[in-house]
This record gives sequence, C-alpha cells and structure tokens, in this order.
Amino acid sequence: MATDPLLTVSNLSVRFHTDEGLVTAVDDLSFALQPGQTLGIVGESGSGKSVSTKALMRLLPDYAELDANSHIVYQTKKGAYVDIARLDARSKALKQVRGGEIAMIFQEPSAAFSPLYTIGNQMIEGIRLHRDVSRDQARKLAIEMLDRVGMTNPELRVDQYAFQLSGGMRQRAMIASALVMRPAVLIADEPTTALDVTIQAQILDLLKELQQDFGMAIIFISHDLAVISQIADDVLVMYLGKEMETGPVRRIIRHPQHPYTQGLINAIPRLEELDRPLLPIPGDIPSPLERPTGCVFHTRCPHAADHPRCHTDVPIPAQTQPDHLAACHLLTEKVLEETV
Amino acid sequence: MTSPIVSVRDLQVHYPIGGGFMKGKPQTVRAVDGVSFEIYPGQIFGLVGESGSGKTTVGRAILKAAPITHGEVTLRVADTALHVDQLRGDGLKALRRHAQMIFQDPYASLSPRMTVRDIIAEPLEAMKLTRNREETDRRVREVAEKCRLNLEHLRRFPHAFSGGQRQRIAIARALVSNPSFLVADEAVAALDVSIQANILNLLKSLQQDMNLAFMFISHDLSVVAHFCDVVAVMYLGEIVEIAPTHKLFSQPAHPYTQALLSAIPPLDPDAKRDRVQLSGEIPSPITPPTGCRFHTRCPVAQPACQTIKPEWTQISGDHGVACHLVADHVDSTVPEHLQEQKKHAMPEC
Repeated sequence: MATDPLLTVSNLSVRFHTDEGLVTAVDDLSFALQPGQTLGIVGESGSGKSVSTKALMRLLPDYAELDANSHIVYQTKKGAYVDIARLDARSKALKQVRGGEIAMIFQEPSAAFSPLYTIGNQMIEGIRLHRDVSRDQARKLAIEMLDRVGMTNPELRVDQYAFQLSGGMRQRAMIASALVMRPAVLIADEPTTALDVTIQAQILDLLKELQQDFGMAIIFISHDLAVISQIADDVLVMYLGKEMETGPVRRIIRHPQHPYTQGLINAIPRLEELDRPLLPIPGDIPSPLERPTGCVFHTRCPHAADHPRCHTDVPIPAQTQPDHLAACHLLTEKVLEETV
Repeated sequence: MTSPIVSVRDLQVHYPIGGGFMKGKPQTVRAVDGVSFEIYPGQIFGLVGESGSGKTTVGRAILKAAPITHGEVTLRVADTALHVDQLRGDGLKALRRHAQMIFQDPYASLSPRMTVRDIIAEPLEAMKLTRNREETDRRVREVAEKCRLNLEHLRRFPHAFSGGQRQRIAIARALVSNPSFLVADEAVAALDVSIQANILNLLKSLQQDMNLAFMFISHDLSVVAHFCDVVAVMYLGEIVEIAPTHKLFSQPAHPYTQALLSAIPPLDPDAKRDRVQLSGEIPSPITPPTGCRFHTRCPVAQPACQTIKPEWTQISGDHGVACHLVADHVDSTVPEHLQEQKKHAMPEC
C-alpha cells in the first residue's frame, strides 16, 4: 500500500515487574496499520495481544515497563506525527489520543461501564472531554450514536444503566460510546467473545458497517481465528509476546507458513470437515516465567528437534511473499536456498 | 437397542424470585420447562443453546445439583434404576459414585489448598470406596496415568499448572470413582484452541476405554459437531430439536437450529453461506412467549405459532423437532419446508 500508515509500531517490548521476577509480555513487536484497514491480532492466552494494544494507548499498569527502543508513531487527524511511546503520561496530547484519536472496546461491557452512572451520563462525559459542546448537544450526539448502532428506543436507553441492558445491547452501547468521538482507530479487544453466536454475528456485521461509514481503521483482537477471518484484511499471529506470522487473511488461513499457525489451524474444529480428527499442538503453553530460549515456539514445534538453531537463535520475521512475513528458521533457510 | 442409562421425562426446574414483604407476588423463572430425552451407554449426548437456554440447569438437575420441580430423571447402573428426582441422603451418595461432573473453569473448580493427589483422592475418601491409604494411592496413580498426568505432579498444588493440565486433574477427579455417566459443562470453553483439541481427544479416548456415557454441554457448535454422537438444541428452557450429529448439522429442521448453525463463522472468509438472520435476543424465562417460544425471533413464523405450542414431531426414527412448519409437512412425501431450507443449510457440509 502506497499511503502513509496511520500507525507504525516498531520494536515494541513490554515487561512486567512481578513478585516472581521480570516477565516479558511483548517482545520486539513491529507492525503498521493503514487508514481504513482492519488488522486482526490472533493469539492464545499469554500471547501479548491485549497488552500490546493497551500499550498503544498507554493504558498499562504502573508495574509495566515500556522498552526504551519502542516506538508507536501515530498520524493524528490534523496530520501531525506523534510518538505515543514518548508522550508524557499526563500530557494533554496523550489525553487527546485516548478516546479522541484511538478508541477501545472491550470483551466485558458490563465491566467497562460504571454501574453508578447511566449510559448517557458516561457518554456525555466522554464527548465533553473531547469536544466543546453543551450538555444538551452532547446528549443529542449520544442519542444519535445509540440509534446508529441499532439500539431500539435510544431516547429511553440513554437514561438506563448498563445492568439494565442485555449483553448484546451493552456491547452496542460500548461501541456507540467509543465511536461518538469519531476515532481514526478502533481497538476491539475480544468484543464478541462473551456473546452468543447469533449476537456475535450481529455485532460483527455492525462493526463492518460502521467502519464503512466512518472510514476508521480497526485492530481486532481475538483468540478465534474464524471470527478474525470474518472481519480482518490482514492477520498478525502472536505467541508468547512474539510475532509469528503476518499476512493477508486469506493467505494466512489457506497457506499458513509458520508451524505455529499451521498447528493452530489444524486444532480448530470446523463444521466443513466433521470427520477430520482434531490435531492438538503438543505440550502446554509455557509459563511466562519460563520463557523458552531461541524461537519461543520451539518447545511445541514438530520441526524443532531436527534444527538446533531453533533452540538458541531467535528467528526474525522474514518475507515469504511481498506482504507475508513469518518468523521461522526453517522458512528463512528455505528462502536462502531458493535464492542461491 | 439397549436400555438407556439416563432417561429424563418432562423435567421442569423452576426458581421462584422476588416476592416477600411489600414486594408483591413472587415470580417464577422457568429455567427448564418440560424436557425429555434419553442417553444410552457409551453415547456422547450434546446439549447446545444460547446463554439462558437452560442447558446448564438440565445437566445439574440430572445430578440433582439443581432442584427438580417436576418430572422424572432415572439413572440405570448395574441393573438398578436410581430415581434421581426422589433421591435423598445415602441414595444421593450412590448417585455421585456413578455420575460425576466436569466444570468449565479449572481455575475455580480445584481447591488451591489441596495437593493434586488429595484433590483426586477426595471422592474416594468421601464415598469410602477404598479400604486403606495404599489402595487410595494406587487408584489415584492409575487414574492420573490414564489422564496423562505426570505422577511427580501429584505432590504439587494446582497453582503450578496451566489450564490444560488443571482440566486433566479435574477429569481425573471425576473419573476416580469409576462412574458410568459424566456431565461435562463447557469443559473446554476456558481453554485455548491448541489445548482444547488435546482435552477433547483425551475425553474421547477415556470415553471409549471406560464405555462412559457423556452429557456434553456447550455453546460452541463446532466443538459439539466434532465430539458428540447425538445433539439436542435448547431454546428458552425447551428442547426444540434432537438428532444424530451428522443429521443435525446437514439437515437442521428447526428454524432456530438453522439460524444457530448459519451464525457460526466459517474459517475461510470466502466460504459461501446463507445467513439466517436472527433479530433480537433470547426473551426472559420469567415471561416466555406464548405458543412456540421462538416465534418472536423466528424468520418464518406463522400466525398459529404465536398461540399454539408446537407438538414434538418425529421426522425420522432418530430425528425429532418441535415446529409447526415441520409438523404440517411431515406427512407429505417431500417436506417442502425442509427442501427449501436445505438450500439454506450449512454450506459444503
């Protein structure tokens, strides 16, 4: 893509100081997000998919440490470039980025809304933080947005509390409160995981429709590759805080290059192939305190036994196709052989 | 055919809520409202439905972990029939020995203060199934090996284990009393995909080794499709369709089943599918809709559906459904509704 990326993340590393020691949650992650693009981040628990996107908004807890080499370069709506990783934690610029430029929706809308204030109250507070409007105008904007996300009776809903809404309606309310500021990037962290499949389908349709209307870019995080495939243009596969593979969604699903992605796809039960036995990835996800050396996936990789390099050297993401990257020694060796 | 290990007849579980001084009349939540089915020895019976459909309550009622308001639940083991709905005291203990449960969250279902050995041994000790400690230890080691647990791990505490390992400990505890029937309530829902397949394969091999019957409760239809022999679909406290897995997924007859199946995202974004859109959400079980409970969301609802409750119709020997549209056509040679819906059914099944 020729356009300037909206967001360029380079060498992002996040570590947590815990009682048991320093835990690496995200390790040297780099990716770019184009305007209007949907990037899916898929990974299992402990893969760092949530932590890396929280870092984009500097929403990490105090005991987290952002590596000094990390850069999160973001192009604001006005065209200026800011490095979010360098912003002061209390700066006005960071406050503007949070919510105004980049908004986030979460898995548990009941946890994201305060139970003490009405939906409208919380939306109005957000709107007035970012825009110079009166309470009445803000309320009008909130009602419009609730209507836009498909809430029935928005005039009534605006004065209700989160607990009075059903799961699907709560998620719609959260989407409304995130989008009312017209952010350029929406980070959706497992927004459909807590919902039933019929409601999940409704919310995915809604997000696609809103993206078309508002022209925003979406970072969609999920553990479910099938959900990602419904909404994403490109997919970033993460494991233990590292990028394993990045590429267009169809290539990732049909021609996965990395052994981890291949294993993941074989482990997913699919309705189209009822008689195919499920093939688990052997072993368990290692504890974050016992991070494997070399390639982080080598402890479960079916090829690692024959390749001593996997145990010692960290593979660097390399191109297997112009827009397809994979971090695996086997692939870089193969590419080298082919070029020689 | 052999006799069923579990038979459930017109099971109802109602919970009163509210009421009391100055609070007006108490209301009733009809969590399970007239459910009947049978599970045969060695069978994996899947129970699916959205949240609030009552699937967990059915599983609990069979083990008498939920109060049975009305109906009969019978468990047949070793030529004796246990009438679960009437059991009390020692009778319940006998039931626990033969019927066990695996829960969803292995982080919540294992006591952090007990070693893995003590967790697995507890059912044996509580039910006094072994004579001495050596026998208990032997039995614990046997079952731990079967569940592919490292014997050195028996001395450790649950916090040292990952989700997959914890779920294997929970399975070992459920199997230690040698039950013939297991209820697995969302047993793999909390696990990562790469681990989930591992646990499903383990459960299947144990099921075959020990000739266990399973009730497998899940919201994940893809998992159910891979794991179960027979599937029952629940909606708002009622079963709307029961069929062998292949039939249910290739020829779903109830509009709700069709909608549910079509909402599952396929892995390939270009896979063809005709979505049966469902509007709205599951209504409240306190005031369920009249007639067919699905009529408020049904894309093909007729006026009759709003007032008349559909009767259970057997489309074929092993495929039953509760829908007026199917019942109307079941006598004609080619069920028009089915034929039309076949086109809507799952793509490339």
